[in-house]
Amino acid sequence: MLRIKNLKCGYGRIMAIQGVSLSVRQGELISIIGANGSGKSTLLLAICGLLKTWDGEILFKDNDLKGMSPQSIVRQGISMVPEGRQIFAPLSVMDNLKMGGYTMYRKGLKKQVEQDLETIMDMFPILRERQNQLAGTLSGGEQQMLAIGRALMARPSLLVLDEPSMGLAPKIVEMIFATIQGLRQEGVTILLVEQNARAALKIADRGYVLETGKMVLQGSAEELLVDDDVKRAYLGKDYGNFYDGRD
Amino acid sequence: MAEQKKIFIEHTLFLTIVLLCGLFVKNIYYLQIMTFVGINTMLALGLNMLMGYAGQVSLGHAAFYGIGAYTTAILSTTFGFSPWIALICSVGGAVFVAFVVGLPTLKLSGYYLGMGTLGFGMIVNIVFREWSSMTGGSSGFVGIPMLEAGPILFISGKNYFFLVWTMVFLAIILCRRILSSRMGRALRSIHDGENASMAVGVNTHFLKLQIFMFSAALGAIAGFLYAHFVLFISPESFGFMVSVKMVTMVVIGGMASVWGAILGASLLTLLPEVLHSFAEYEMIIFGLILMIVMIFMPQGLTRGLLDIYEHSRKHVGKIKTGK
Amino acid sequence: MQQMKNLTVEEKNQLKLERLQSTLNRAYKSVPFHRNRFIEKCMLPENIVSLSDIERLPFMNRSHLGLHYPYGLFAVPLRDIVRIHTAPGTGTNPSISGYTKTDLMIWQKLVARSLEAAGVTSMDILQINLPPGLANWGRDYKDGAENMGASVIPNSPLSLAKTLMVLRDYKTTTLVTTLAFAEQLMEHMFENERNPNEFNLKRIVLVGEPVGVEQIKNLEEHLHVDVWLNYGLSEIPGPAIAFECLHHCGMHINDDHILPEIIDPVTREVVPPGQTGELVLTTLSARAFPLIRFRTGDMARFTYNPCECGSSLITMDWLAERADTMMIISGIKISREQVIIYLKDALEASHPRCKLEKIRHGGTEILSISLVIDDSLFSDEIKNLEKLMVSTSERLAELTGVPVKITLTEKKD
Repeated sequence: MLRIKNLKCGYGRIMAIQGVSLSVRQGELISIIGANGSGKSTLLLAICGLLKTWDGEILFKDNDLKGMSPQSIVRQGISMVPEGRQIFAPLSVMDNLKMGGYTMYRKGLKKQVEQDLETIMDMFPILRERQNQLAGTLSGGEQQMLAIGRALMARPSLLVLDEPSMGLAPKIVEMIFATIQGLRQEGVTILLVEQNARAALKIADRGYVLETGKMVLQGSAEELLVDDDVKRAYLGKDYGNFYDGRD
Repeated sequence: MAEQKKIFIEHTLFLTIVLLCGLFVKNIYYLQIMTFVGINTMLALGLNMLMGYAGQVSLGHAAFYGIGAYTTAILSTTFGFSPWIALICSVGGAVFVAFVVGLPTLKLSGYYLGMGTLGFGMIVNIVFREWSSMTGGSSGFVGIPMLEAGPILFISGKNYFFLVWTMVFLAIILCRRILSSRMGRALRSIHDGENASMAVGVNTHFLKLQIFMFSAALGAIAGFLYAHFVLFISPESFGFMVSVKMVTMVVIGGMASVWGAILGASLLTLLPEVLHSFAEYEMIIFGLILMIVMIFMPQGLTRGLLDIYEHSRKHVGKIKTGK
Repeated sequence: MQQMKNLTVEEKNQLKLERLQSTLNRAYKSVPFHRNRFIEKCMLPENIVSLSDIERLPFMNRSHLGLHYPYGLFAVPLRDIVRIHTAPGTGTNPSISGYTKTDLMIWQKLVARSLEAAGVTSMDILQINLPPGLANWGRDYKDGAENMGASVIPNSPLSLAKTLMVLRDYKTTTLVTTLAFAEQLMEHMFENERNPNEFNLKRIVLVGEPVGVEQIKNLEEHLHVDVWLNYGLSEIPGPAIAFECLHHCGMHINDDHILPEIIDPVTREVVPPGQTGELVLTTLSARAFPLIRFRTGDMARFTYNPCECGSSLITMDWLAERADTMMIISGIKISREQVIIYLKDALEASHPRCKLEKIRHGGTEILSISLVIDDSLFSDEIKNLEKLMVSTSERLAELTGVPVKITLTEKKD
């Protein structure tokens, strides 16, 4: 569904991404893991059209995304849950979700949007409870669910999540990832960028490892979870001995 | 429903106050001041939509005020157009200029946007001053006709007072309509940052442009009303200081609040009058008041006063429950 | 592991490109040898933007493997290596390859894939009989088969007779072995008039060297089995790089993990599709030991007939010639030049004239050297000469890893 070849992009002279290729097939959950500064977020910005210029090729359902505005990309079927949630604080929860359906309204599908609102609120009961509350007053985990709900309102073919675990307590992170896994089971194709490699790989089909703007490793989630480099760099194992813990 | 009831009450209250003032204030001078409050409110309303809701700063908005005023002055005086037609041209002209200027400028953000609008304001002011054949230059433009609508002559006083405040009321309703619509939602969403809105599919640039044009239209109407009120205009009335005053009105009154616009406009129109008696200390006190408001109520008076109100209610509640 | 069958050509190429790029990034980052070669060509891994761009990169060969003993070509720290395979190598240093846990995981699956294509299931009993030089492959086949759930009788030093007993009594269905052993088996049964139907053997998987159609037919007729060829590399990554499926239309290369090219050994240019040339391999998912454009010395050609089994893997024919001057004896690759150097050294002669051949003696293959006696070697004492020959052949055997037999011949004018 999504095919990226030799993507090069960055900010001014700083090339955050230097020749990255990756692909996401329909129905897959792909996790991209990497440390801070590896360029993960820049990669997603390029996919969603929020970066002015980039080199290389990004194909979504065989359409070239080069030069497309963010709005057009949303219409193509890609929806992003941004880093740090970025929910619309001055708007109510309900308004936030309605904003998610913005492109649907433009198509005149008001009834569909109303149905979708119900569906999303069924999926996240806490949002129904707090529907008239100002989004800025929700807790971190609730905001994350709101951000995901908002993105789902656009009925995306590809859901892109930028560091959903950031700034959230471990219990909440578990819940969020369970939600994401649930979405995958419903058939949503998901691209996930994460620093919390363990959580990300546990639910993924395949993963990619990004290091200073280059892909250094990829494979099935199973392969990556046993890979020593990944363990050392991202799964937080301590390597004092010659023999790593053979578990 | 509660929301609609609230709005209904607010509007009724508003209209009542306007009516009462209009009918029972006899002093022409006070009526005039209140008329000015109305004109300034119109300016503040437009700018509030741009700054308070869309989060775009504009340091040259007096330009649209001036374009509105000069267009109607020139068309109705020099060319003998009916002022009401001149009104349409004023608004049209201002909207057109806003479109042309906004298209490139609104792509900027932060300081750059401020500088861009500042520059624009200055250019327009220079045009007013230098194009003396049309505008009368620095000495100003005299002989603007008064407004008539059939038998009613809108001379300064009660008639003009009601004219201005009716138009302000219509503007308030229009603003509220916009804000509660889908467009208004989208508008409020870009306040904190455009990326999230773009990610949802909002064409933020186009939206900002539309609001810019809308606020220019309101500014032009204010300019029209001003011109046919004082019947004499000069470039000074539409200079940088006026732009700053407009921004101050919005900020002091409370951004993102329609009533805040009225509050801010009122304060900044009335305060100098009140302070006249302090003669040489006028500017100092004026400045001090502004500073104090911004320090203790940075969200603006509307929010600030509401906070005090709610705080005192809680306090009273605590006393009552024997804390 | 991806079911390659379900991918379109474009998706597959994308996958290969991604794997190639990450391999190059890792090699550049962690292996000074590879990094230097990039630098020499003023290139960076990001300059490789398509699969065909690989032609811009330099080749590797066996001598590099020996040169960079012991750790020079590892892309991961030693503590990540969970297995090291050793082989005698072509020079003074043994040639080694390493595997991380992930590498082993991938290789097991590839071996399983090749066995599955040969029809092996978890109900089969697999016996392995490989010469010491291919002992590493013995382990890989054992792991792959176990992974599938088949029962395995691993490689062990039994005599031919005892091996046959086990073969019969444990109802082995699948034998993984070399052509030499298979032919020996055939001869033994023929000589002792044993009926192949005594055995439960259904299939033989031949590894280690290219096998001609005649020889296959021979085996199949006499042993009543299906014969399957597997192609592998004794250096990394291992056996089952390419395998036959039941249509026997050539060997499918596991090109989701190994990128093959065919080059003209002389010009070193990539040949047009379908033409014969030297097989060059690049690993796409090897973690411990990435190989970039490794010249195998094996000659092959790609065939492009779509195979009925539906697999999208590239097919090739493995040909008997070699591009290099190596010999394969008991699965071990031996360089002629190296042998001559040893001889020079051992005999203290400057130009030993000799002929090197592989001959089969019983079930083993040995290196036979026909040495021409010339004046430098001549000695009156036959005993001295004999001692010299014995000690030389012993030393050579130790150095190369295969039995060596030296015979003296007269100078022919």
